Amino acid sequence: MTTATTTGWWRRNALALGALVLLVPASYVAFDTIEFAPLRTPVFAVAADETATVNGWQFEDVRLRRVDPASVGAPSGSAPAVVSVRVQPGTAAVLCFQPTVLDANDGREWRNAGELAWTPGDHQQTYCPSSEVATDYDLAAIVLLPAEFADDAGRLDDLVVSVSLQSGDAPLDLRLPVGRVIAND
Amino acid sequence: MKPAVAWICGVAMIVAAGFVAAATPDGEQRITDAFHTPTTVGRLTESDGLAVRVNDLQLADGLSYGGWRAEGTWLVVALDAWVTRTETGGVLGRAYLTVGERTYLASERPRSYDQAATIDGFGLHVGTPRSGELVFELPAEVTAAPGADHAVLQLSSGTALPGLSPTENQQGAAVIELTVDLTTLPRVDDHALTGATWGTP
Repeated sequence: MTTATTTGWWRRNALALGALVLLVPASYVAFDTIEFAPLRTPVFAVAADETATVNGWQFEDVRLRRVDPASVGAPSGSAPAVVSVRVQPGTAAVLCFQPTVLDANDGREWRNAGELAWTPGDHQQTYCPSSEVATDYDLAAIVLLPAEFADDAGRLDDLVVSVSLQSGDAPLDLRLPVGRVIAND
Repeated sequence: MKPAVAWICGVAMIVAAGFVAAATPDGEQRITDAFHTPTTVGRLTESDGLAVRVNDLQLADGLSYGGWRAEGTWLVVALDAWVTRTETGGVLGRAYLTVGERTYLASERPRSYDQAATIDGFGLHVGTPRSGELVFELPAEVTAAPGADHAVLQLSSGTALPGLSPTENQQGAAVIELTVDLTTLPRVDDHALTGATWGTP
């Protein structure tokens, strides 16, 4: 193979090679930036102890209260906990659902454990009733966390409470870090 | 590039592309096929966020739980199950038994009496195992049916929609599969369900 023919091959295919040089990085950028937003619920995350305001509604004071497993019918060694978010309703129509708990480290998700013996207290709700309720209340759920959280209570600080909201036509996933962990009552 | 080298490269690429095409399922199939993971009795198996350990299988000619009782031919599957990522959709609502060309959905009868009768009455939890049973109500002559010696138990999390076939309900699902020889299973006159309890990890 002579130098002349090699150069000739590159030159003959210059257009294709140029396209390749452009399109490979372009595909990479496109994969990374194409807007899939309509398929995903937007996430609105706030820092610990911050108040999240959505359409005039305020969400704050996220607490996780440890519960004695035996008192709610959970297995011994597990770490059942009641999570609550203080809600100050606004006048706009906002729907919100029972909170779930996420592990910030690995994304695992716990939902309300309906079979545990827990009923919401007087100032607790399991969803946002309607804008007619003008007073503050706690949006609450009981979750069954596994033994690792009972063994190492420090891991409870890594938990984030997620509240699904519907504000107007737009869904929103509110993420609030647990601000206060309360020991077994 | 010498023409001979170009030809060799070209042919090699076409052959390589043939291998890739042969190994790649067609687009539609890739989207809808179930993903099968085989398991055996006593082995912990995890697939797509569902963890299952089948502990025991037996046939019973009667089934009871509390004040509920039903005669018939029942396959009783004792198992532990939990989910590993999310509790959303985490229920053993898509449990099938295929015997030859027939497929049976796990019976809802015991849990229509009491939700705690079988393991599929409650949602599964992340990291905390549940222990309990699934039951299949089968024809009396099932052990003599074609394929009874290699029936297949199929477990997926989620809920089976009644209007859909088992295959449609399993579209895109991870399916944990256990081959069962119904002809050699122990058979008892009556089995009292233990009810859904907490399991051990």
